[in-house]
Amino acid sequence: MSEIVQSLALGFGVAASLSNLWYCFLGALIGTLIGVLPGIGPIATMAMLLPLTYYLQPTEALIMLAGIYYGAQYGGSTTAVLMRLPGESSSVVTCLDGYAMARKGRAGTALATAALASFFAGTVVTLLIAVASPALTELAQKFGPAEYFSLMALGLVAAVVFAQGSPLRAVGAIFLGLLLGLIGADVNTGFDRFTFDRPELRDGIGVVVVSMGLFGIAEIMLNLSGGPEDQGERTKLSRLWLTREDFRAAWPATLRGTGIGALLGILPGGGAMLGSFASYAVEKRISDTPERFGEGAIEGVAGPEAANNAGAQSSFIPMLALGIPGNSVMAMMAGAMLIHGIAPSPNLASTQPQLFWGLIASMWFGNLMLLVINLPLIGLWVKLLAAPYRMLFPAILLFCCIGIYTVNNSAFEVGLVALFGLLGVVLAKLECPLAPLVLAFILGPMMEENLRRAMLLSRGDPAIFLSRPISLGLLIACALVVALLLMPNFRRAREAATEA
Amino acid sequence: MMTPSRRRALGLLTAASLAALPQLATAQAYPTKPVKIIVPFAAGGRADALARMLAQGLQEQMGQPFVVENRGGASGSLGSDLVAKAPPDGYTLLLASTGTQAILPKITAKLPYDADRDFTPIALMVESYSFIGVHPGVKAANLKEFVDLARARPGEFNYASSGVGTYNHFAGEFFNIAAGTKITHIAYRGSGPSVNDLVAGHVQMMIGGEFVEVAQAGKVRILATTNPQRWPGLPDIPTMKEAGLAEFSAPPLWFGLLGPGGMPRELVEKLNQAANKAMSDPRTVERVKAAASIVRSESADAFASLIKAEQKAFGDVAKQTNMKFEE
Amino acid sequence: MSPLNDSDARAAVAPPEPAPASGANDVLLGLLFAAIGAAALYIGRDYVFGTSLRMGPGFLPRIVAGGLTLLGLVLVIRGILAGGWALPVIGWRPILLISLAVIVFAATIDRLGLFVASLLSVAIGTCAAQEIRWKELPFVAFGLAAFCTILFGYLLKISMPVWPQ
Repeated sequence: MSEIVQSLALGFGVAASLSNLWYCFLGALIGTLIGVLPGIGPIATMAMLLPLTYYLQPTEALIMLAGIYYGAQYGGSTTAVLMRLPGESSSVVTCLDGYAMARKGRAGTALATAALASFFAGTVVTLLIAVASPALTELAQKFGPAEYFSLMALGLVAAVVFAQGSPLRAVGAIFLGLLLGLIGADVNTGFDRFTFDRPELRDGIGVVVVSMGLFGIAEIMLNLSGGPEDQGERTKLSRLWLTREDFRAAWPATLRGTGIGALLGILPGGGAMLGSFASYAVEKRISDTPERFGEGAIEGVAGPEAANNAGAQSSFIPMLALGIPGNSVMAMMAGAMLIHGIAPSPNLASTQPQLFWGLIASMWFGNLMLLVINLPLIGLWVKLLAAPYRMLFPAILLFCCIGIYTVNNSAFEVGLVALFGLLGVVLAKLECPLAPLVLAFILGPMMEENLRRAMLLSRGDPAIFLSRPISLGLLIACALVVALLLMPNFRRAREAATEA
Repeated sequence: MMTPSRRRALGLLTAASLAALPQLATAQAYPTKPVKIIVPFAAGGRADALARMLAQGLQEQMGQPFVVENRGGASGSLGSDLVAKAPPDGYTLLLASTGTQAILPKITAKLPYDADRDFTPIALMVESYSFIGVHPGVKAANLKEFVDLARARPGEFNYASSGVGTYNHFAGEFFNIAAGTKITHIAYRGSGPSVNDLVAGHVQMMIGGEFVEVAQAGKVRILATTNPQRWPGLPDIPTMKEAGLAEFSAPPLWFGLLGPGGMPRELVEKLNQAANKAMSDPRTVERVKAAASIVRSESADAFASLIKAEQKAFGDVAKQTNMKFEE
Repeated sequence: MSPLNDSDARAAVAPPEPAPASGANDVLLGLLFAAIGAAALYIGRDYVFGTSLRMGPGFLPRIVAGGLTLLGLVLVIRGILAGGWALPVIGWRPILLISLAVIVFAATIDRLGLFVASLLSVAIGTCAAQEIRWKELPFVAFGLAAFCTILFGYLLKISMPVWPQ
């Protein structure tokens, strides 16, 4: 324990140096400012600003990049709340209740909730990283293809919880999401599926493209086609801060979100983006008033935002403890290390203690800066909403186009966004829920990939899913959720039968 | 007095020199505007890091910005295609790899470009080292023991790759052929998840350079390097030949600079020298080491013939194992 | 009661749901699902299915597309039974203009660069507003294009074409 205290002290010593604090602040600020441009998410922002960090010392560079990451991540939540524009997949969930709150004039409260929940989660997970990285890595290592499959299956079943209204429509949305996720080269064989001979589709469609089209662009279209009263509805804002009741509702959700996000974030290969979905599903499930979700429930913002930030933070764990980048953001961090001649490695803590512990300590500073930068800005963002929509929407539209383009420098993907915008409008008009679609789109490819990988590893023996304890546990949870979903209906059916 | 034939000869000469002039002039004046280096992979990762090191070096020497642009997608063929279709004026260059130049053309029928005709090899920048790594739980202390073990229990072991048709995948098949083993290929989405599962023991083997650092921490056991010489960073690790498997013939993985097809000779020479100089900067040499690679300075011709030889090697194995993207 | 009896289960699911605006929504959504599913089945007809133990690349596509088609048909039937034929009202003009604005940006960015692409896309997009203010339009388009060109092209130096090539 004293060793950890010593190391943390070293880290805080490094991170609190004037130049490192400055780069941390600068990163968080630039990240926030660019990330808050609608349509531009963390990956695009980091890719844009990566070259800036080449001229710095390695520690400064990584601290600044991490700052950019937090800033852009939070900026993505801001646009999700204000304009229903998810800068990345994990803020899709924030669009649901955050945007609903904004439409009710509670944008300030939603943003403050997001900032506070994120800060809390960030602080907890920073400590967690310092104390328990090796243990958590070990846990993550237990996740093989079979466990991943069972986890994804659980996620898919839980996706029905996101349904508002008809479960049948939600199941349809899930199937459509799965189908869209199948587009691209099959990972296990390299075989092209539904690519229409477009090489751009070989890697599949980006989650950002799908969610930006279905939510962001579709929202603009719906606003403009919905008549003049729709366009002015959102501006009545009351207060920026949380009421006592808000605190009471948000606090436990934040706590749960932090735990869920931190756990899922350590799974390499896309765990981090599931945290916010999982947290939302849990909050809605355990709530006494699930019907408030989607109408501006503060738990639906606090939980997912905490999970989002916790996952963002804990996705550093595989990278710091093993030197294995678990997602594209971490790959970018690893790339930045390579540029400075540092190989990401499990020995980083012993070979580069200054950098290693400095980076960890800087995470906490980064989160603090985020709070310091963003709380005062909330008023400004909310005021922006007061600008007439006819001036606002062309800017949103243009930023969306630029943002999508910068992710892969691909004009093709910009065109796809238009397509998904159209699909989003049609689905919204036909009352088809979109969140299950996006979740299935994210989960589907991972589920298929791991299912087939597990079957290949077991040489075709499906018992692999039941013989491994974690996998078995997840599948049992799966069955329980299905039972929970079906039970009320059976009960009602029985009642109906006896009445008749 | 000039005879008509002499005049004609002179005229021809002038015409020829006039025709050659703009080319010479472009090569001498080059570059007069910013140069784009396309990296056909996403930001982050080895290719991207190398491109940025190279860009910095070239920029310092040539006084014009060299801008790195990431155009990832379709195993690198999207970005490569952009360069293949660009004018050969030296203002659009490609950071290519074994994958884009020697492997893809052999497994993809629908490639939008011709890997030979549409590119001009400029400079081989680095040779990356690959190793045979096994999970520490595998009961084999050296390569020979591992080969014996795998032969004795066919169908029991698996090897990981970062995707179908990647260098890891091919190296694994080269190994199966050379050692007469039947180790099953398990494809992952990128190198992160594959190394992770190797460390965790869900798969037993992988051939690549992505896990060197992990191995130094004892989480993966390296049995041999698949390059022809030992890696200076791990001098105790034998080559395949030294470890008793001389039949293994996978060419090493490289990263290099290419331009669109038909670039003028002078321009190629100029860029070759500049790139070699940029890469041999001691600081760059040191940084390249972190990516388990060494800097290689070769002439453009040597680079071109290396690509040719590799295409043949990978083509043979692709045919032998029936490896193709389209089924 | 038998949980396997499909029509019972469906009857059990249907009544407690909040009634959709009209049965037409169910029918239309069902048709959309069924059409997409059927198209996917057709496109993927040659994908290798494999066996449940050794799944081919066509395994999941067929199951998912088949499921989507089936669900679509169920929705159609439910919609017909529910009745109610008020079609959803969609104002197409803004929807098409916004799509067009995005597509024009995509089509022009690589050749004409950021400035021109922004100018065109904003000009088209602005026309999607309820009432078009022709006097404002050039200022909005030019202002936004200039702002983005300076911000992304010069301050952030993003590697994208800024001017026509």
